[in-house]
Amino acid sequence: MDDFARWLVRFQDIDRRYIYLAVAAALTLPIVLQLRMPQIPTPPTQAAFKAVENVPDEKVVLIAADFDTGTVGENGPQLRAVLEHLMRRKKKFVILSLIAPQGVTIAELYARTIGEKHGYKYGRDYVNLGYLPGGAPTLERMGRSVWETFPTDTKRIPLSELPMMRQVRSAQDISLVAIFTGSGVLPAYVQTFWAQFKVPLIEGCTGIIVPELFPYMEAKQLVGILPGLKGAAEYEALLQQNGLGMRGMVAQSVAHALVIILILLGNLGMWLSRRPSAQRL
Amino acid sequence: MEHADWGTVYPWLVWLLTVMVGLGIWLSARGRQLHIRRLPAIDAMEEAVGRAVEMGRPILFVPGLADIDVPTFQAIAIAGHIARSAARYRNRVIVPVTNTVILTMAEQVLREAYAEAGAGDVFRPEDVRFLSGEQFAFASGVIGLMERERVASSFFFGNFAAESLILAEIGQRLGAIQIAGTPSTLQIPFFIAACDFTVIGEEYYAVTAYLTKEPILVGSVWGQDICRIALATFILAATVGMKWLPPIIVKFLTFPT
Amino acid sequence: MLEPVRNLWVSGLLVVGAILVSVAILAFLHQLAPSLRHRVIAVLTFFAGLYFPLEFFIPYHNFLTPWRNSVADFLRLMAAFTFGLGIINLLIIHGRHLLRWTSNAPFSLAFFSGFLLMLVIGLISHYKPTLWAQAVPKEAIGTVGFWDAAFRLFFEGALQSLNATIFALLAFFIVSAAYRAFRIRTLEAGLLMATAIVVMLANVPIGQQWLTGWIPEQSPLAWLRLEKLSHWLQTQVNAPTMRAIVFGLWVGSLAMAVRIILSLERTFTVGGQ
Repeated sequence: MDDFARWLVRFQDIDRRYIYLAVAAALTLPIVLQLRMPQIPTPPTQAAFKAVENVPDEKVVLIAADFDTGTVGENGPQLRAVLEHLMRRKKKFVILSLIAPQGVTIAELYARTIGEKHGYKYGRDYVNLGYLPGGAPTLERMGRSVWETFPTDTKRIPLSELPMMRQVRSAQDISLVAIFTGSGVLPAYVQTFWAQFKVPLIEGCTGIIVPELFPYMEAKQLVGILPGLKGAAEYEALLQQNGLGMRGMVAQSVAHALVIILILLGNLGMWLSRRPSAQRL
Repeated sequence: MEHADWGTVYPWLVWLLTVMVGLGIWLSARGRQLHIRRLPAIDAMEEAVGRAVEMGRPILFVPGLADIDVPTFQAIAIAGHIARSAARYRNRVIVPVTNTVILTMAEQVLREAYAEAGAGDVFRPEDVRFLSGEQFAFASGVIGLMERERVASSFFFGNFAAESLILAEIGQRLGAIQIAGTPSTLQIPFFIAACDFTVIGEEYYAVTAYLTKEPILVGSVWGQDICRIALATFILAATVGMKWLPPIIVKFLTFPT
Repeated sequence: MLEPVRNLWVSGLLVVGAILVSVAILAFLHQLAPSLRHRVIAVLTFFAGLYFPLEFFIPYHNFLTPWRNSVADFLRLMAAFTFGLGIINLLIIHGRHLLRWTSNAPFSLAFFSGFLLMLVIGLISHYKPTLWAQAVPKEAIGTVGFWDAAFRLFFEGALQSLNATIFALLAFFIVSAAYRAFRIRTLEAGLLMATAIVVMLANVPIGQQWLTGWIPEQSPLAWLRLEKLSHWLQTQVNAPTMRAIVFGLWVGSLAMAVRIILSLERTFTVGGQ
């Protein structure tokens, strides 16, 4: 027991590289070994799923891909899951980004890949409007007139030549805004699409900013949230699909367990080192 | 809402709060002594500068993922103070930025700070540099800078996102004394875990007042405190009294849906 | 309010005219005495800052509302304009390192290599994809041209991967920071630890299913289920606290905005101007 206590006291000052190694193992082994864990969808994700289910046929969904490659690990699976859902329900969508030029490229790539399975065609079923800098004022302008704000799409094709865009003129033709982001871009959409144009919002966000979104859900400014990679996994569970989200959550679960064990060991070591008998160790 | 709805409390509240802040500024300008409580994190700034001077290593000041907004202006103001302190001892302050408008502002503020202290020759324009507008490209640039320059003190003030912990951990590993302050509430826990001192919440906007003791700034901070007390009292009273209030008042207090 | 100009000569003249007027205004300001310059800038700042609040607080469509689009376009132009300044700054700093061949020159060489490569490939793939390469027939669905493939190699293959790598560092840093900082030395630290463990376990199937999944949803003890406890902590404890901090921050932000619009905030200005 003394040896263990001695080890625990020394463990407090362990070289951080051992911790990094343990984290790397905790994250990679579950994926390599293809472990599986069930997911129970929580109310925020279920609400987001329901919002997408209820999109009417005659309107489109606005996919706000406000993330870049840094957060594609979390936002990517969320976006893929929602796109899969939209395409299964044969809903049309437009892509734009307020803050991340890379996001629209990534979103279109996903739409293209998933769309091949569902027979989706660019211009007829989805359009990439591109990057829209300028924050809430330009978003507001877009809500009043899409064609004035985006004379062409990101490929420089005039909107008049895209069959889908003939029915998308303003925010009135948008039934849902699905934001995917790792930043605090939600207020811009709340100020414009929710407050002015009464379009419901859902958000797929990184795990770090989830606490920031709950006040918006309480105030009914957000109708659903996909919280981090877990949200993606829950959405995939609702779609009955084993995608990137489900696979990633296994690794995250093991890593969480590791963090808890390390913290407990660290505190045990600290407590032991403070005891008078620790002097003997 | 496209325009203010004067049938609700919100526009009235904004103007009432503005008047309260104005009252604080007016009282202070008339010579009334207004008190700001001690803020240990800000007291430690001088110590952090001194440590960098003793070690002969530069200071790093990161104004966050700078956009042209109020928190960044506050961050640049704080950078000016740090630069004035460092300039007295002829020490360098490195300021990497993500936005070029802020780059020009920061360069001018620092140049003037060094000139005021008679250390204009110590200031290097390349110490205020644009790294990247991309969050993680900026973060990797800053950590490379920290490692190569072996900074002794780091200051993180402004809007931060996920890169906050990356920056703070690298500084921690280098043994730098670190002080952070951000209005990004989600990043505060990361700074608390990895930095020596952290300025939390509204203290962020009190930093310049605390450092300069300028009457207008102190009066403004005092006015902000009165605003917060008034707001808290109002929220509590309205929540408790909601049951007995007539419908017209409830409608006035409620956000239109 | 301002309609786009279609005639190339007219728009060119307008651009040149705007530049000349801007230079004239700057020269005029430069000639003024410092105190007078300060007053002019303070007045301009006040009126410029007044547009948005005035347009918003007048409770109906007003004389300022038609200018909203033009102001939004102006803001977009400012945002686009800053890209050029950033590039110039980078070129100057890294160029100096290369010319003097300092110890950091290899990093500057890496910067120039990446910058020029992406610039050239991006421009060619967007504007001239058939330069020294075969055109992709319209019917060849799924085939990409050489320059498009090269762009994707560097954007998706290199940039995306690098960005994700840096973000992935967070996983390691969070664990090492948590291990170092989460020591229960006070009651508050103990509370923090307990809530952190509850929230962490509720986010993973280990906690949700195995630890408290056996408690029936309808039983009086259902509140002990980790996902319910976690949800309660996040919505009834954490969210109100964050809201309170945000209220304080916004009041501070309002005060700072008042100081800036009235030119009372001199700490970040140059020479108090």
